[in-house]
Amino acid sequence: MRTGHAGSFFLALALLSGCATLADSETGGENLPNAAAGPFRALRAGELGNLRSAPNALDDDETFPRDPAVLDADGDPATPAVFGYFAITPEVPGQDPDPAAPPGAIVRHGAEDGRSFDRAPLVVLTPDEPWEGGTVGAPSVVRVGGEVFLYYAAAGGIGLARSPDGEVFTRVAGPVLGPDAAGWEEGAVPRSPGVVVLDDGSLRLFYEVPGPGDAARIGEARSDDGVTWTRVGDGPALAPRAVVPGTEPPYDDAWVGAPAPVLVRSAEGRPILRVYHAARDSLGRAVVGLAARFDPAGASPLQPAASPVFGSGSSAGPREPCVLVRPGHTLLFTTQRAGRTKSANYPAVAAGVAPADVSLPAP
Amino acid sequence: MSKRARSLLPALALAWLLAAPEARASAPGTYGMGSRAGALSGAVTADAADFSGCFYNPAGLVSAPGLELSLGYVYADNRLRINGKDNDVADVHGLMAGIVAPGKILSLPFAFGIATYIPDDGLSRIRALRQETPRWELYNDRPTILFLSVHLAVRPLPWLEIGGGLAFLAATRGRFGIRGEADVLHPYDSQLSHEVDADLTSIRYPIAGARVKLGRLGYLGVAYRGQTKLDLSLQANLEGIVDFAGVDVPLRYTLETRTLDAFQPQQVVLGLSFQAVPRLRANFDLGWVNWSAYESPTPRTSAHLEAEPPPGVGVELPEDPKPVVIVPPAFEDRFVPRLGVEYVLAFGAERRVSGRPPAKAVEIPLRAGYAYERSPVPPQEGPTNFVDADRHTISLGAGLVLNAPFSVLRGALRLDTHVALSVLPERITQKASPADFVGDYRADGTMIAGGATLTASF
Repeated sequence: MRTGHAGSFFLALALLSGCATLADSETGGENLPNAAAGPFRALRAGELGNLRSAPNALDDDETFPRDPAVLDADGDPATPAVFGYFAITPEVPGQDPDPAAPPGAIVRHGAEDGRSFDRAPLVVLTPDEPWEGGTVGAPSVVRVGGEVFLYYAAAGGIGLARSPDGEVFTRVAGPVLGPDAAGWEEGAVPRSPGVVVLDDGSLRLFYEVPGPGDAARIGEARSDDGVTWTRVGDGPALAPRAVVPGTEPPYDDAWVGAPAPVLVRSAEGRPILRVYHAARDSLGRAVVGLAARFDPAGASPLQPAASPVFGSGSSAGPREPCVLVRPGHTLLFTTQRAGRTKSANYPAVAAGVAPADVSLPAP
Repeated sequence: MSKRARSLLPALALAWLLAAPEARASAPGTYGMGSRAGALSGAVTADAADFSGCFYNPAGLVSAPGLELSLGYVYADNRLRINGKDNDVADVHGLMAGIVAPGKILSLPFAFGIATYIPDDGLSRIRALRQETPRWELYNDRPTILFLSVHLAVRPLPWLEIGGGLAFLAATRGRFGIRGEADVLHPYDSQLSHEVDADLTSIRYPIAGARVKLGRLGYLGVAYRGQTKLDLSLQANLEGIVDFAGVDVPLRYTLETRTLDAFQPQQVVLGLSFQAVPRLRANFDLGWVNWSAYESPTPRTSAHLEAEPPPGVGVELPEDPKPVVIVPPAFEDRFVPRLGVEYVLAFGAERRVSGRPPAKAVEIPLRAGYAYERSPVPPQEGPTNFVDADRHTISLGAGLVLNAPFSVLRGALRLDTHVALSVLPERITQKASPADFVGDYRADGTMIAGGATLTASF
């Protein structure tokens, strides 16, 4: 053999291999599984219509709409239109709006795209009953049979109003869930209801129980008709987690409340009851958390998610979440500070979406 | 082979090493090294006398009939899916090449071998993903890196061949820093200086083997491939003053990250090549792969930002990222069986061939193989999502051998081709936590690999 053979071989190989030394763009990341349970990213500019400024799907510095509850307009997840029910502080002539005042009405806005609410609120509920103490808020809406059930928080507990069309509501007398002095709630007034209809037609109500001290916990009740409720278990369905020495403190070690339950199925068809909720840690940092269980109708404990689903690292203080499950993604609506500036220090409704890489259809 | 050529080979090998700073593993382990081995599903531990011995068993190199130059190409089309949707896992394609140079030192038969796989769309692809991010851990990036190994083999006894050498990786340690004053409103007025200090340090791992001749029955082989991994470290410092409309804000940002990637477990392979029937070879390999030593590729990252905004300026500094609690991958050791059969059709007049007994002018080897690789990845019920499934590979191949075709080529000119189909049956993952952000999924896939190798034997 002459050395030219080997030399030519190496030269040819070097020329061939030297043509490309930069790798392809990132691969292997297409169509990855995602439960669309979170974390949520805030909606961006261009993802909201109706002249809304992302991430705020609803923002009014006079009536402070907040505490969202979203209902599919026709019960078909394939169509985007929704109705949103919000607590507001009605304007009082001659008085400056007070964002800290208790909510005095519940209004409905429509959103054709499922997220950009219109600017024509319809008042659907105002406080009339003595037990309501002049306030109604924190709505939760579900379809039960052919009706829309609107649950709300008032001074004396959790009330219910029913409607055939979602516009005109008729109250059910008295609170459907009032204080329970005998049990673990120690007479605290339940508030901030979240209701879900299970596959068997029964309903579950999750609610916030204040105390002890500045803390709050989440209780659970069940009902076959949505009117008569029975508390589940002899303790909270979800409570602040204890700090384990030597580990990172959990995001919900001080306060959990404002539950928003939703029923979903895993990719393998397993039913899952997710309960989104507001949470705070011992440093006062507020986030939206998630806890869930596989047995929606059972009484097994809710398992917290590994990390918050919204608001981590933000000072906007998200609270009172609700979610809307759509094919391929989930929308989150939550009350939080309208903006970072001093003039935006009032509650508004922000929107987010999971998975974070989803492309929403144009508003 | 001339003395001059023989003396040049080590120099060429050294030059190759210097010119290839990022030599890594290992497409050969996934798709085969060379078309002959690919057609036999890699069952060649006791039957690799060409450049593929540099991966499968360097001991066989000493049985090469003469100086051999090989050049080939392999293309693997990966169709890996989760929940029925393709995940766009990178196809793998590149050049495979090698040289085997046998000779004698003081009547002791020896051989020098060098082999490489060079991906033709980049020499490496390294990514650092969060441990929760689903990824085809064993197929997405690991096969798309360069492989290089250099070996020596000897035959101290007529029935014993021993070989060994090194394969190479390159690790990266880097640091960069930026200092100075940045003007936010007039960026071009900024006065910044930077420094970069990066080291590419070589990592070597051994490949060694032995072959024992079992009389007329064939060969028994054993090979060992060492464990290796890439250790990538990066440290960044940003220190200076940010001028924001005349307000100077001292700022310091530090970032440190360390990632392990391209982990290759150590493995031992025992091979048998049954050659008692003329023109027929039946090979069986059984490998043990030490997957339990697999280390998590999750990056360890720490970052810290310090700033001193003027009093009264409400600037909200981001929190330091929380340290990641890395979940051990807990992969499991696996035995991998491989089968390969080769039958050679021969035509034409008998010719004298350099380095081997007289043979027909034209030979057509027909090959088939099967391998089963049980997934080493445990059920991903927790937060990690190392997606994987068992792998069945069926391979077919054929060759065309022209013995002593030219006066200058008194050995043979050989063209080998192969195609291999790997089927990854569906594997269902059900999460233990109902609040898992990824949720349940099912994974499956197919891989189709094919290639050709041209070998000139002098």
